[in-house]
Amino acid sequence: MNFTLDDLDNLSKLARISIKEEEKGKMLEDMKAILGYVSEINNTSSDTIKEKEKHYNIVRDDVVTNEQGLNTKAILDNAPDTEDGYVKVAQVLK
Amino acid sequence: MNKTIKQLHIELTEKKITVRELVNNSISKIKENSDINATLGFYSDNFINEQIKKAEEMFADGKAGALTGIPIVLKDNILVKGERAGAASKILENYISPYDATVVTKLKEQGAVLIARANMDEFGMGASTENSAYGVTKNPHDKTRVAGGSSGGSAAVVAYGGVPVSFGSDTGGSIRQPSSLCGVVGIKATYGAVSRHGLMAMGSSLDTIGAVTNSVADARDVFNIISGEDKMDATTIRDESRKSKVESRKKIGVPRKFIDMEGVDSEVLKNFNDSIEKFKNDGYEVIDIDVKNIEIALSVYYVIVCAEISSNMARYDGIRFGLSVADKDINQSYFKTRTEGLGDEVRRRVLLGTYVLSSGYYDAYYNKANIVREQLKKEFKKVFELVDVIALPTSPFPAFKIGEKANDPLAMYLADIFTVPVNVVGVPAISIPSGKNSEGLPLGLQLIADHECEETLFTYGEVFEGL
Repeated sequence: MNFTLDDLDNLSKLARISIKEEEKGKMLEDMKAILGYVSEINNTSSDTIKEKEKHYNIVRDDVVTNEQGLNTKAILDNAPDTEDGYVKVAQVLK
Repeated sequence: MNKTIKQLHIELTEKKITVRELVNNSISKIKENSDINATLGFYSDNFINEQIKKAEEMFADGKAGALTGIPIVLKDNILVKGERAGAASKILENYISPYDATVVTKLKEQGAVLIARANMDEFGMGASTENSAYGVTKNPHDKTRVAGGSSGGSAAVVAYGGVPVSFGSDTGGSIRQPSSLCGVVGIKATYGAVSRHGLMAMGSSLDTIGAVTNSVADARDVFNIISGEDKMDATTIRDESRKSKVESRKKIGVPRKFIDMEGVDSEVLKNFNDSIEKFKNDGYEVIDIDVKNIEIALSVYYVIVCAEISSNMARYDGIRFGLSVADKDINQSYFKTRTEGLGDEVRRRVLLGTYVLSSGYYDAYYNKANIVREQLKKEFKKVFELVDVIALPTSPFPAFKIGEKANDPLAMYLADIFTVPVNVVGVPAISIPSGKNSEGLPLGLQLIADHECEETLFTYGEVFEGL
């Protein structure tokens, strides 16, 4: 399995998850073992026609269905930081 | 022998016990068994008292149903408005559910009494409950062994008699495997049969809510209550298109080649063969079936589930809810929050999912896995033209020692070898206790039916219980 420390670092950046230096060796070996194992799916044929699913998109009119403010407090109470009914975040653009 | 819901319902109806006594008994039993670590905390006193009052009124008014007054434990990833829920993750340590899951709404309507949150592998990722941020759940039959997972707490609390029914979620075997390891009944419904609204998402095309009970009859009653179309979950099966009852052909399929592969415990194999023999002696026809590619369903599963996990876990960013660790800028605070808040297995699966979805690897992994998934669906369809159910052991081995597989993720994944094909295809399955091994550890028989044929599972399951 051709999976390197550079790949691991790249994934870490994409997923916004850090891996400590001392954890990297084990993580690399585990990822290699798992990716190596699941690669067996490529030993099968690829011809198939997708069956019609019983599940399909359900759309509804774009109208407000809840009473305004019904869940606002419950949702904001879970936010780490709020101000005047808004979720507060650190500055994004500098 | 733990009492079933049916037995307790009769006792409540005949006033042999009051709802409050029954609930208090459950709470005491859970406290007595705190060393098992099956639960993460009780719901608030106010909430429990309100539910008891409602249940008592329903009995007084003659409106009591099967679950009225029955104490229930919910896996920690199912939302109850105003109460804690955290998927056994540090990232949701202080989270309060802003709304009820549809399953919870239905249980409340029934007058059931929700009392506690069950321990689990963090966000449902694991097969031993060792990935909980709050410590492992021990197996009530042998405290040096795991209860299975990810719904290990849900299975253990029913096994030691804490409650007669608990709820869990099953994405790759997370209800059936711990049920098998703890010696109780676990039902995984057809994908879409039970609303997922209010269940914290892990693998959205695979997740299902189901129950752990002491009998197949109880599993049927509970399934009939929680299933049904829900406008809050667009993937639920529409009520008008639901399949009606199918006649039994008394025919069971056994994928012999798949079962006889390496790694299956010899006592599990013998117990499985004995179970099949019992069906034969009762007049059932058993045929050997060949399900092409069933042995690679595990690989298909881990590609798809990790891909879906990497998307679903993106919401845990420390902005709108959950743990938030500040740093010099917002990007660094994402890193800090997710690294501190998420455990090893969750982080590993997010990274794997990111890999299989990344450009250059998408076709070889995610796309290919979906192609094989379609092929597997067709294979199962062909098999169900021949037989009513497919029989497999639920787990390739009995409960393993705590720590035995904790450092080898691939070995842990193999614990799901017989359960994941069911989720990949979306069909229902049940795990039923089938005896114990020479060390006294429970073993389970898994029966799998075609889409929406839960009733076939219950019929077969009840027959098996009587054999």
